[in-house]
Formats: sequence, C-alpha cells, structure tokens
Amino acid sequence: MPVLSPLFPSSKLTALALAGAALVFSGCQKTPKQEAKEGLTELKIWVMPNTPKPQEDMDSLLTGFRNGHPGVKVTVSVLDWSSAWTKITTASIAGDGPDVVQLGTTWCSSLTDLGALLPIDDVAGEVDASSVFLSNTWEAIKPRASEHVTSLPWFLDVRPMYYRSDVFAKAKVDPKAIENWSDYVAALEKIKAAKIKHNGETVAPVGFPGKNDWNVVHNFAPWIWGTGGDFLDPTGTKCVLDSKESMEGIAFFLGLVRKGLNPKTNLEKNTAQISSEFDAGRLASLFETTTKNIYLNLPPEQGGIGNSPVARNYGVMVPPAGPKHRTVFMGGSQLAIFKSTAQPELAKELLKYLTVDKDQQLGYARVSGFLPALKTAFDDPWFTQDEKRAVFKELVQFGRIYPSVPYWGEMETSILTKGLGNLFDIAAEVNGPYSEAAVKKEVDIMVREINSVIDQHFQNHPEHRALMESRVASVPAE
Amino acid sequence: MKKLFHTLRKHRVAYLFLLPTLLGMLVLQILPLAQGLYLGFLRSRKDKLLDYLAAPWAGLENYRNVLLNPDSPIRSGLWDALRNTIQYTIAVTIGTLIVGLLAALLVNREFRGRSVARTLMLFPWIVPTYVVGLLWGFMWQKEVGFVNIVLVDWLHLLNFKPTWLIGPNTIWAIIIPTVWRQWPFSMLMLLAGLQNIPRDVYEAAHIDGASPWQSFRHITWPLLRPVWAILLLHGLIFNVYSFNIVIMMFGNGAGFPGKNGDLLMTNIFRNSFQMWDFGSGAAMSSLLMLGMVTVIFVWYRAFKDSLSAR
Repeated sequence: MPVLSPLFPSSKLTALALAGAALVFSGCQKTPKQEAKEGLTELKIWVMPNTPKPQEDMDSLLTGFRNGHPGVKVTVSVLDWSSAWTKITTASIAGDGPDVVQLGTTWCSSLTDLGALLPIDDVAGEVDASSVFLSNTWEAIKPRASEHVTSLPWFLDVRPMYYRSDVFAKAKVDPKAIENWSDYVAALEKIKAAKIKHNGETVAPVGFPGKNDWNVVHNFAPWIWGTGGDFLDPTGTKCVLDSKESMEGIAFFLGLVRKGLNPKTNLEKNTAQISSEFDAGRLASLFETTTKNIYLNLPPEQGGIGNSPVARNYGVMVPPAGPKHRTVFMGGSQLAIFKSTAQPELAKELLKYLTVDKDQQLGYARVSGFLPALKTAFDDPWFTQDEKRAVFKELVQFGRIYPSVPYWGEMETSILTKGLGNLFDIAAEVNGPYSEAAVKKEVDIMVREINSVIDQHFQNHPEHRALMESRVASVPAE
Repeated sequence: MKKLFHTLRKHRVAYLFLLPTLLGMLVLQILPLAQGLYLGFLRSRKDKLLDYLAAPWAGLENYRNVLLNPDSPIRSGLWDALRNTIQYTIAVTIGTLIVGLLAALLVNREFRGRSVARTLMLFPWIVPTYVVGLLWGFMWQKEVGFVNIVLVDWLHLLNFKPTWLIGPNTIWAIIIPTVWRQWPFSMLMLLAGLQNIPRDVYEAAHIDGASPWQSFRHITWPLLRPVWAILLLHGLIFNVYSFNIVIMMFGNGAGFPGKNGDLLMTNIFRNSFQMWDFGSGAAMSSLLMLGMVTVIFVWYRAFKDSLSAR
C-alpha cells in the first residue's frame, strides 16, 4: 500500500480536486469563442499606470460603463510608460492595437500623422468639445497637420509650486506676496540668506533637476513662455528658440543655478530624487505635478509621507507671473480610438464615458491626483472647498500644452532634452566660466537641428505646411 | 573549378555536417547584416516604416548626412561620442586586464579560504548592469555620494568634493563602474591561463636566480599572451558597443550623459532611432562596423602567431 502524504490523501481525491479546479477556472476564463457564443463583445483599452493601483482603479472607474453595456466585456491592459510608446506605435503599424488607447499629449500628433487614429469629429461635435473642455486643451485634440479631431482630453498634468510654509515663515517670506519673477527671486534670496537648517542640513531655496531627467523640456518651458518666447513660431513651422524673448527666459532659469538658488548638486539628480529632497526637508520649494499633493497626504503605510514634518508644513501656490505671461507647463493624457477597431461606435461610447462624464472625471482625479479636463468638474466642492485644490482650479487656466506638430516627439526627445540639458552644464560652469555666447551657441545648434527636422518633414509632407500655416496656435488665457 | 568540385566531393560528408551551421549563420547573421547594410541606403523614416526594405532609395544621402552635413541632427555630437568611445574603450579594456591580472595572480597563490575568495571576487560580474548603473549613479553624487565621502571625508586624499556626473569627470563615472563590473571575467580567464603554466618552468627560473618580476616578465606574461590577446579583442569589441551602463546611469531623460560622457552607441540610438531615421541609424552602424573590422584586422595581424597551435 503506497504511503500518501497528507497533501495528497488519495489519487481519487486528487483527481476530483483537479477536475473541480478545472471547472472553476474554465468558469472564470472564457475563451474568445465562448464569449462570442454568449454574445459578448470585447472592447480593449490600453492605459498607463496613472494611479497607484492602475488595474483596480480602472476597473472601478469602468463599473458604470459595464453596467450600462451588459453585452460588452471591457479588457484593461496597463502598459508601462517606458515601453508604451514603442508598443503603441508598433501596434499602429501592425494594425492590431486596442480599441481605445491612452496617449501622452504630445503623442497624438505623431500617431495621427502615422494614420493610426480614427477621426472623431462626430464625437467632438456631439459632446460640444470646444465648450465642455478647458480651452487650453484644444491644442492637443486636433493636431496641427490634420483636419480632424483624433482624441479627447482625459486628464491634465499641471505643475503648481509647493513650498514649505514653516521655512518661508522663518525666512520672513510671505508666499502670497510672490506675484512675479522679481518677487520670486527676492523670496529665494531671503531663504538662501536665512540659512535655515532642517535636521542639521541647510534648506536650499528651490530644487530643479538637471539633464539626467525626463522633465528637462517641461522645466524650461514655463520660463521661456513667461518672457514671451517659444519653441516654435505660431504656425509651428519654424523654431524660434533663439529669439530675444526665448533667450531671456532661458537666461532667467539658468540664473537660478548661477545665483545658487537652485544648488548645482541638484543638477546631478532627476525628478524623483529632487522630489525626495523636498520630502526630506532639504528644499524650501519645488515645482511638481498635482499628484504630489496626494502623496503628501497619504499615510506611510500606503506609501505616502502624510503627517511627516514636511507634510504638516507645506502649501501650494500658482507659480509667479513672468514679464509677459503667467504660464505653466501642462501635459497629461488624451484618449483616442485606433483606426483598426472593430467596434468604433462602442469605442466612442467608452471615450465619452471617460471624458465627458463629470463623475468619472472627478473619480479618476481623486485616485490619480491629476486634474480633470472637463470644465464642470472644477465646480465640484472637491475643488472649491479644499484650500490646496482651489489653487489647482486657478492654476489650470495658466496651463499650456506644447504645439501638436507631427515632429514634436523627435524635437523633444532627442534635440531639446539634449540641448537644454547641455545648458545646465554651462550654468554649472563645469567646462569653464558661464558665458552668454556659450548659451547662444548651444541654442543655435538646437534651432538648426529642429529646423532641419521640420524641413525634412515638409519634404515628405508638403501638404502639411499650408495646413499648418493656415492655423494659428491657440493662446492660453492670461 | 575542377579542383573545387573534387575537394567538395572528397569531403562531402564533412560539408554535409557543416551545412546546418552554415544555414544557421546565413539566417541569423548574414541576412540581418545584409539587411542592415541595405537599410543604410534607404530613406527609411517614420512615414515609411511599413515599407521596411521597400522604402525609397536614398543612395549615399544617409552617409552624407552622417559625415558631411553640419545641419543634420543625425551627426550632432558625433565627434564627442567618438572621442569618448575611444577613451572609454581603451581605459576599460586595459583597466579590466590589469585588475583582472592582479586578482588572478593573487588567487593563484596557495592560501586558506582561496576558494571562497575566488567565488566572492566574481560578485561584481553577476550584478546586473541595471543595478550597477543605478548603484554607481548614487555613489557618484557630489555631496552625499559614497565615492566623495571615501575620497574626501575618510581618506582625505582630496580637499574638495569633485563633481562626477556632470562635466569632464563624467567619462570616469562611466569607465570605473564598467571596469568594476568586467574585471572578474578577465580574472577568470587569466586564472585558467595561469594554471596551465607548468610549475617546473618557474622552478627552473628560480634556480637560475630569476627575481619574481623577471619570472613574471619572461614567463607569465608571454605564456599568458593567447589569453590576454583574446581578452583584448573581446574588450575592444564589447566596449565599443557599450550601451547599457550609460542608459542605466543617465537614461532618465534622453539617455544623454553630456558631451563628456556620450558614447557612439547611445549617440546612434538617440540621434537616429529616437528621431525615427532608421536609414541614417543603419548608415552610422555600418560605418562603426567598418571601423571595427579595421580594428580586428590590426589585432589579427598583431596576434595571429599567438592563436596558432604550437
């Protein structure tokens, strides 16, 4: 008689258990054939990890849609940000993408140019997109080189200024008095002079990361725009980074390093490390996305730093106004439909559900910390009755999106991130004393390279030039 | 021709056995290589991705952009990357050889715990590049980095904390972790070589009054030549194509470590593949391959005697 382990009491029981498990699993996992037999239609959506629990949060967000569409099975796939672009473009080329896809604001134009996205002018018209969404999001939904709307805004990434109220108070700086860039520099100088210590370490006035970072261009943009400068001319067909106004903005931002307000050691770090510096109390101020607000209030057991000395003593404010504009970088994500979808009408329903339904917009803002794109969402008490979120409501009107030109991806990823990153080296004086000529030389290289990319694009798509020249860039609210 | 057919017929069984290998090489090496070379003559950009090898013919345009067109973003920073790659390759290859040789000589001696020491010495080699890049990225930080703490606060070798991750020191911030990761491999190979040198050669030299240095110079070094010659070749090829360490340490943005740290592979990746210009990327890669063929040719001329069986 064989000796049986307690885990395997008998072969008959094991067989029964296996058969039971098979039944249970076959009940859980239906094959596409079974689903089709039962009349289920599958709708696939690809999203990125926008919340701490992306899969669960999306499933919870989609409950209403699933209830309203019992014959539809919505499958959510979460793509990592680092691989999302490659996967989406590969899928667009191969024609086997999902039905609905999340896109970074600057991706929409490139994918429209590749012919991967379904025009959704009908949806935009039906929901009255030009009225219901914030006007500064329009730039992204209809690419400059297209005559069609190809996406709708889902959520926004806008960057307020976080500050340490206790440090500001010790340095006798009133954050409410910081109205423009001069006030801002004066405030930072006062904090620097006060040499305030936190756990024995001197608190630096502000922290911006250097070139080893994914936010290089986003960090430069508000200062370039603030002086009336820009990356491209209003038609988006020529680089104007070397204009007098753009150069002033660049010089101001680099000046924060040169004056020691943003210490040179920060330039070795990336956004996550700079953010940790703020959390550790070593920075008096920081420009970061609104998701930081959630993290500062989340208890440590859930991964946040709620109730820490920094979390108990921080405030948020709208960044100071530049000489010409008060502008902040605005990114975020769009939702679009792949042209290869087999269920365009259902996909449009899902798109509307996620973008123009106020409850869903607010629901996702609550879990992600990003801001909704729907105007009416900001009238909710969640925004109006919270001191910090009320600042976000004010902030969002100053947000500005990059021009939705088909070559922005190449410009940003390769040329601007590298070229603007080199400017940090010049400001840090690692290769010799700082000179305006060295900055100008680096900017000239970027301009030359960007114009070369633009020329190359128009050689391949001559029809785009006329189309883009006929459209003027949308100017953000003052 | 008659002679060729005769040889083929005479050794047909041997050639038959070689056939699977030849087919494998054709499919896995020759065809992709030929496609890569051909792509360098095509205008293969974002809008022509689907066409692949049917993209429009560009002739020498991609090569002209890489080598001669000063406005082309494709060649941006190419000379900086070339200079850094030469410096990096030489320093890493020689550095790993020297450290590996010293370690091999050390663990070739009899002492207690030798096996444990040999195993522990392999540790840097088994650390993934990702971890190496991340770890050293923290260690090089000016104020809180371990390297400056050791150099300045503990050993007092310097009276200031140097900046490693920006500026001219960047190349050393890439070279040193690479040497740290690769020397155990050299040690392993050289140790195997050392153990093949007969003991009686050293004993004879000792009787003749040779000093340890003379033994090393006239016995160890020449007899290890086949091993270090292969390590030299491996180092040259492997390090010229280095990519991971830079991307892991500086890949949070465009993967650009600055003018003082950019290497050819990261430059090609950024300037061509992030720009969706696959034709130019292929042209740059072909040029690099041509350069490496020249290096290998020179190496072969210098070391072919060491490779032949005696």
